[in-house]
Amino acid sequence: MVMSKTKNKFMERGDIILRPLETEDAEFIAKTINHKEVRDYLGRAPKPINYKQQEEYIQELSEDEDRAHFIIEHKGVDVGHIFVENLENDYGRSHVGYFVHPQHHGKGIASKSLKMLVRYTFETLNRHKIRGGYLEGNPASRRVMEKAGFKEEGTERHYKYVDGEWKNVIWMSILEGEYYD
Amino acid sequence: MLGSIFLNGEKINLRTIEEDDVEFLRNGVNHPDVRIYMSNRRPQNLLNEEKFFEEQVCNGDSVHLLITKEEKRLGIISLMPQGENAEKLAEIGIWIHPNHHGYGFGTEASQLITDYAFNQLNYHKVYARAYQGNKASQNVWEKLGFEKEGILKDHTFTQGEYKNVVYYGILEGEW
Repeated sequence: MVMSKTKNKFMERGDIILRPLETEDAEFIAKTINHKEVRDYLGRAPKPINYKQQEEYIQELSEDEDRAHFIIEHKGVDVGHIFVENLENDYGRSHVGYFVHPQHHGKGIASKSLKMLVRYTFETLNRHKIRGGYLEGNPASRRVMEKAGFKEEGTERHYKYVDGEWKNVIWMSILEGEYYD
Repeated sequence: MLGSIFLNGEKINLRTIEEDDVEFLRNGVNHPDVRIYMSNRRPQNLLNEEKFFEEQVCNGDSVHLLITKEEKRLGIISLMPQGENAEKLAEIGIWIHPNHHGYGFGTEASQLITDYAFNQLNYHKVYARAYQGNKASQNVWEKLGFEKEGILKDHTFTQGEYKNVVYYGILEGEW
């Protein structure tokens, strides 16, 4: 068995490790979210983000108790990012987001990572509900959520403008009761 | 270290602007062949350029990207929102370091950012200004199908004389 070199693993399942996001990860995150195949499907506007901006953003996140951010490592390599937020609001409704660098798509990395995050959100943080969304035209992201037990909740129309067209976002969610079933 | 690739072209790429690019940007804006077509008349030192990086690149609404070919820095292109959001209007500004003039890099960079302005950011109109007599700049906008919308007479002063400024514009339906 290969021992992981990760010094600060937070969760582990098979060859996937989730570890805390650090300011040194700014370059990897910026490179990935500037990538067209990633930025087209994120909730944020498709503006460029440089290393310095990303570093400052990570510093802000670190002080925010409302969020938990992780780097996804696959076989010791940084491959993606996953987070859960709205951890402090009433009713226990939380929100997840994730991306994997396109070089590492198709290996089931996002699915395994989301399952780990769902487990953490219910079993450790005791939240009631987790919501996530995907942009139409990104069925891979829908499958990731379905595999983690999410169900479709509804469509929010014209959420983002991509390649000259408005795209809808489809919201999915999983409830605490469904998770423990 | 170079920034991440944001827009992919055939000959060139547009990358995020990083702290390491500040020196190149300073060397470009001070170059006589660049400066005479721009509004900056004073020398720009590293501190001035650092300030541009902090205040304009890292903050503010404009999109600024470095024009690169492989690992080589060629110039900068900017998309700057104008007026109110309701107007969905932006101005393009660009310079290429004189060592790299004449290869069509400016045209390709301008094409990439115009396409991005309409198809990703949903602008309604994009425009650019060129000093009359700056043939290279005027050619870029004409090649890309921008319409010459008007000439403002004696609207700037450079190289010992007043010069006209030519406005070029293109609408989302025309792109």
